[in-house]
Amino acid sequence: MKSLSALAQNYIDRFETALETLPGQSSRSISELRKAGLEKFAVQDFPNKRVEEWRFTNLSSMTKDVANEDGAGVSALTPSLFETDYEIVFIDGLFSEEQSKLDGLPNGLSISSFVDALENGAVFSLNSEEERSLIALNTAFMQDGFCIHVGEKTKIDGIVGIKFKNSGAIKNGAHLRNRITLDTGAALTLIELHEGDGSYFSNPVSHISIGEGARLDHYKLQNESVSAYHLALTDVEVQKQGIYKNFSFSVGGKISRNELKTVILGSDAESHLDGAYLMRGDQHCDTTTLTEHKVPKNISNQTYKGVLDDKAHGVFQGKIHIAPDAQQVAGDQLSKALLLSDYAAVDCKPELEIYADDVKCSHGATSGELDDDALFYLQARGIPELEARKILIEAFLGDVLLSIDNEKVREYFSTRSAHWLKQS
Amino acid sequence: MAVSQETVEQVASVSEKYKYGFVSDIEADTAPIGLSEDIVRFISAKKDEPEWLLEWRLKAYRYWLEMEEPSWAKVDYPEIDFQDIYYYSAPKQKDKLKSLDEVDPEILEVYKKLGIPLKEQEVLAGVEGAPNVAVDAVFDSVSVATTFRERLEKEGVIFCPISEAVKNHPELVKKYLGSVVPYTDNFYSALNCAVFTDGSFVYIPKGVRCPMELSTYFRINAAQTGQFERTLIIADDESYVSYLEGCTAPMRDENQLHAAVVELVIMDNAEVKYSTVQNWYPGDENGKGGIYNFVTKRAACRGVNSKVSWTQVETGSAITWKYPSCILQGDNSVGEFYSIAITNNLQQADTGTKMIHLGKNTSSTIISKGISAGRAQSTYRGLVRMGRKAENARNHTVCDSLLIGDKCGAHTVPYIENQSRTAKIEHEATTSKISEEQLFYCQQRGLSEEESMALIVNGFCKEVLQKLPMEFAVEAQKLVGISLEGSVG
Amino acid sequence: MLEIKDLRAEVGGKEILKGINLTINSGEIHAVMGPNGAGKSTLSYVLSGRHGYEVTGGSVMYDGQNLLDMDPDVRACSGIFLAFQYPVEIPGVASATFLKTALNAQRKFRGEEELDAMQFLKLVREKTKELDIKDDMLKRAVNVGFSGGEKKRNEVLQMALLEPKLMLLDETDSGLDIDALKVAAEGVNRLRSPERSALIITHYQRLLDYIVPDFVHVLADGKIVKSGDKSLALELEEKGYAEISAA
Repeated sequence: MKSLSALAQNYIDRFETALETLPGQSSRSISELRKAGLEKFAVQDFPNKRVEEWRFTNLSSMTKDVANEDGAGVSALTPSLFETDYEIVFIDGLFSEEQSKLDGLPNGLSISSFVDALENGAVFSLNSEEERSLIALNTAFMQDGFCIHVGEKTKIDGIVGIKFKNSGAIKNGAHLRNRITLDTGAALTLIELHEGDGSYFSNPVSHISIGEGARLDHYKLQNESVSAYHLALTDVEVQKQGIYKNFSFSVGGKISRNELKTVILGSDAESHLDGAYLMRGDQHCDTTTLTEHKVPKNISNQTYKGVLDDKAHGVFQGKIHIAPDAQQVAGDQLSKALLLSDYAAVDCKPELEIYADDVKCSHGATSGELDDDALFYLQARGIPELEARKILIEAFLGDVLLSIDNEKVREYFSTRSAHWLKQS
Repeated sequence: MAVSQETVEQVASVSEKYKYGFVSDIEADTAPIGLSEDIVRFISAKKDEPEWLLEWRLKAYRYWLEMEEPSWAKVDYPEIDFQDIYYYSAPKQKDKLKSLDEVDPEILEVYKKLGIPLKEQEVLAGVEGAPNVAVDAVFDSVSVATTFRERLEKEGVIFCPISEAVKNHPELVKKYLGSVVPYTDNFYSALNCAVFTDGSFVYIPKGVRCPMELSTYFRINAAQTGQFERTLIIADDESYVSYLEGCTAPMRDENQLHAAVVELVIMDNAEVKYSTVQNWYPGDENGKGGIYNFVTKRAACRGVNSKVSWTQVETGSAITWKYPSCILQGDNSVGEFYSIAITNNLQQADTGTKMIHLGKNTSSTIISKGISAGRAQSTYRGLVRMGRKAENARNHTVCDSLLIGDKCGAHTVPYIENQSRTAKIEHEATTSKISEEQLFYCQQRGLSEEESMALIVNGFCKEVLQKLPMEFAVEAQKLVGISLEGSVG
Repeated sequence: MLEIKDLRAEVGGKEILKGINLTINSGEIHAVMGPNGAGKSTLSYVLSGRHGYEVTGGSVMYDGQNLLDMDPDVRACSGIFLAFQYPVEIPGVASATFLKTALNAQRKFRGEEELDAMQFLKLVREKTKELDIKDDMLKRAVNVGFSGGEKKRNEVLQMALLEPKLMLLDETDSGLDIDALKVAAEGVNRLRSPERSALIITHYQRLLDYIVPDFVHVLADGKIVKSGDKSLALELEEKGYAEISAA
């Protein structure tokens, strides 16, 4: 048997001790679940390049960066700029009641922490077919998280914010377990804001269930510290006529991966996964999506755009899977990347796996530098090169940002990308 | 236009199933079944090979023993028992062939029955006025006839069985054999290095435009026999050659292994066009029998302005595992890959290309047309990699899949890796079903459903068919129709 | 030649034709007019055998044979030609190849010798000249990138070449300017003979100025509600469908 990585071994070694402090130790089923998770993780280790889904993302630097000893100095947390209507806040992986803003929730909307949800008898599980080691790891060590429930036909005005702040005080992992459930006809707009300082490992796992005719607009800002590891996995199930819209805006992290799995279980349902990533230095940003169409008559699309400077590395892996008999499905995928430096790189694997014939699927991928002609054209009209470049990059990102329906979020992300460009 | 019209007539007139499914009764000289160092030595001794080649084979064999069969391709087949295969089967013949007349008449008979490549049997039979195509025919594992050799020699072109080249041009073979596909490359190429028995060797000297198309014709005949041919083509500076390759095998219940290696070396300003029509026996409607086609093909564009163009029409084989690749090392070098892969019944194809851009201003084009019918699975798998020094490199990929019927699958797995800021990569892919409207439109004008299908699919493949040399294009268009038989209704 | 009795048909489970009765004799030209959604196009598809148009009742006899039993290509080879309202694009297939394949399929069906490339080209050149159609259309892929007018001309050219016995024209006039309309009408009129018949499906009367029908029928809600001679078309133009249908 191959030996485990030092980091994996470290997790395994401290599991027994951790079990005593992790929530739910009084519940046998939770302890069993954690053990099952650990076993699964122990067989697999952290993903390495031999795993096809991880061929472009190498986690080997994690062992030294997020060893078990906790960070010494705690830096001041940067205040988040985005104002939300309701808010749940996690500091270093733990729910902070005083910083959260959960008073006066409208009827039909409930937000609770993972710990509270456990106490109220919420069931968490690990699918026996689940093969992803990071989900297994999360199951073993899940320490906190949130549960959001929107009742039947309840449409929530305003934005629910989930803020994850990491000070770097705890390096070896914020294993958050989250669940979002929208009942039939419900609607919700949600934004996740991930921010922090120092070196740490964030491993949020979310399960989202979208009921018949329900709609979730799910936004995410990944602005982790540039020394942090952010490995997020989100599983979504969409029922008949349900709509799931996700937009991820990523500027942070040393190594980050946003893994989205959407399973479409009903007809006339839609899944839209979009995003933009702006990376520099030696940042690495991986977007991996899997969209499974299980039944006929639904649509999915994806558009991701990346801007890579310095030695940054971008990855897009997207797979559309259409089951036998899932006829009349339309699936589209587009990945575009701009390389601003000679040392930046992008890897892309847009994949189609199709077992039904009456489908229309396409994908496109482009990568390259800014269009010389356009640059020259702008310069010829008197715009200095630097300025012209910014204009073109903004234009490149513009159309994907336009897919954001919520005006406030769109403006926020646009401002953030302008801010990023200013630092160039 | 003439070609397509002729083809349509042929498509309309063709109604046979796999027509190459006869077995020729030719006495074969066969090595004992199974694989061991002794077999490797036996093959080498049979070929009267020099010591260095035997050593190389043994190194490959020992390396192979340590390797695992690859499992990443989207193909599914029972485990191969590599000890249950004959690694050497040569048609018995008089000591040495002096002229075509000495070729076993049964072999010539075989070519007649094959009917393809259209004109080549005439060439083989020495018919006067036959077109300018020089042919090397590889039967099971051994090259049996090479035509037009004298005429080629006048130009300095070497076209002969590789076993002969080992004897007559050892310096060339030693220098280039394994230089593009080393024995360490992959499981099947390692196996091939250990046990290859023959294949074609081509050398085009500096400044020569090969005056005719060169063609190799492969056939597996003996039962339980693996075919491991090895092809090496060297195009020296400023030279040009167009090379054609055709393949068939008889119908048999058991699966047969074909693990070939093709290496192309292309120097400054040289160009190689390599066209394949692969029509190995695909197995019957229930997936019984058929060839396992596990092939490694690679071109090294070593020189500046060198160019390689792979065109393939893959209609046969139970399983195809094949990625003709281009290493674009020389500045301004050009790689092209044009592919049609048709799978029907229970066939599985996992095929595509690799374009490795290393030099400046290198460019590549990929056009892949996949057609799945019946219960077949067809996968395009391709890699485009722009190295850091590949300044201003360009790639354009178009990858279209067509589904016929609701029991088949079509998959697209591109890997696009860009480390060059100034490189431009464009990739587009579509998957759709054959259009009901188009079928009805054709039928309303009087074409049967199968004819309509053949016509529409040929239209779908047109961009690739156009890249084939004329004789092959006609043949290939016909094959498109035949391969899809039984996929409607 | 064609005898339709109590023909009922549905599309996607919805009944569109609700009992059509119509007899077309050799040499006759019939026009079927009606408002949108009356079932005009359905009628043409049912007669040409398109998949998905399910006949639920009634019969159609063509030259003494049960038309509904025939595959679409057999109907075509037996002389039924449908000029499509929206001619289909077939990328990669040259118009000339398509035409020759179709013509030879039909000749073969009739037991006639197939034409070789030279004979075919000669024939098709005659037809394009007669109809004033540019030859370069033959080199282009079938209907791909054709303008609306070019597509309809291509239909007319195919009809001229295949010389059908029964021409079904499905809204051939839609989207055509007056010149193109004349070309289309000219195509039909040239073929007009005592052995040939036509069924012209149209929303407007204007095509009938150029192809004068022997009979005009009004189709409304899946049934023929009124029949008459060419004056009925003019009456329709004047009074509108609602009044005639109600009468």
